[in-house]
Amino acid sequence: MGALVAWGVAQASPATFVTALPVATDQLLVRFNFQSILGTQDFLGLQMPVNVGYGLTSRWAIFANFNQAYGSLGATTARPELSSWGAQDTTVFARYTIFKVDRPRSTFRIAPLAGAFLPWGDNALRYKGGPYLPGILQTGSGTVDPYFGVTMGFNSTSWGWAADTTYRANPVASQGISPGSELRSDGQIEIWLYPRHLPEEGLPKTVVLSYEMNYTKDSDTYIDGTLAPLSTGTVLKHDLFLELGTLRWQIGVGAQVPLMQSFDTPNHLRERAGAFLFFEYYLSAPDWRHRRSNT
Amino acid sequence: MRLCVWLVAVAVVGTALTAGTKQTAAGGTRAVAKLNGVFSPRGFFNIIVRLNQMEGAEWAKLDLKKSQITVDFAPGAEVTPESLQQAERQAGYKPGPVTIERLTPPVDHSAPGWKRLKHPRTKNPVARWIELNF
Repeated sequence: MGALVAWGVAQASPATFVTALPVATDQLLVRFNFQSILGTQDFLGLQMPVNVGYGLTSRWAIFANFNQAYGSLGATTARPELSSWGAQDTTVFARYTIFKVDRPRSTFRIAPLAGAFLPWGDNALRYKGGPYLPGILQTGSGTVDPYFGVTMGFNSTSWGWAADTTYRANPVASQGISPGSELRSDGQIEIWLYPRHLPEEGLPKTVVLSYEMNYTKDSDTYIDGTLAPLSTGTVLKHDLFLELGTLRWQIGVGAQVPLMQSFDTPNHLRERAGAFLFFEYYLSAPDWRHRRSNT
Repeated sequence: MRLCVWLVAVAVVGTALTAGTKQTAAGGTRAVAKLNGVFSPRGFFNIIVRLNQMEGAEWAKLDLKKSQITVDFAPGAEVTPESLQQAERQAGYKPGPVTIERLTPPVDHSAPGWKRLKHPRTKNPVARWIELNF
């Protein structure tokens, strides 16, 4: 499923990828997401990722992404209806804000990140104990996958942009289906729809329109450690989101449509459309660390 | 009769104490900090997380257009520009200049942007965390 729906869910304004926006020391950020994808071959994918971020210091933040997913493929003359459900691989990574320019009501940041995908999912799911389910229905890669990249962004009270590039290096597992390593690049631009003019006093709720593009290039897949020929793919998608932000939470809804899908084989499953919904809540972390340091 | 006298005495003392509290509350300190890098409600929350851990910080006024945060401290609280700037820094932002002034009554917290800061006192860490966040 990961091949069709990128893991990416965000920690801030861009909805489909990581950004460089700050997470304060001792701040917790929790984001609940719901994503649905429709594709050819009667594919239906549902994902419920939960992202947790924590500010270790003003520059260091750690993130964990937990995901539950369901996928199904329609029956054809060659196969019955297939489906799977379960936990996907969990992502953990650290982000360090290496460069920032803060001005009144605007910020520009660059932050490298590094971590790994942990094999909480299963890469060897089978149909009734028989053949492997297709890769799109597997919930994991079967290995610990190093993950690294860089993210940057500019934001102000009227518009902003963000971009990132990440690489997920998927080692080959001896058993099951090993998805190829993935190069991913994203871009985003947002404009403030509300308020058009900031009030003289106070902190208004904000409504932001965000346009995003996601590019992914997947390397060859391996099955039981053997190269599966003609299994690379390149996908470019675009997304439109509407986000409402307040002091303590943010909610967003959006749609995703593929612009370009290039695969080695013509009958490869292709995405048709996706829908996204997320709710993000900001929390102060438990203050035992602070209290202990004061005693 | 003794009971009545005692009740009246308690009421008088209580009223005096309450009045005294209001009086001294008005005699607190106000710090106005200019912000850099804060462009959204979420950015102000980053700073509030730090202010919640600052002793004596009672009220905060969040002004996005002015890019500033105004913090009212309880009487006797130790307030320095450096402590506010440190809070901004820990929230992930480049601190701006801070001015500190003595509060003179009446102090009005009804204008847009004022938020009461939370300082849970219970010893139970879970209850404290819930009170802080919900």
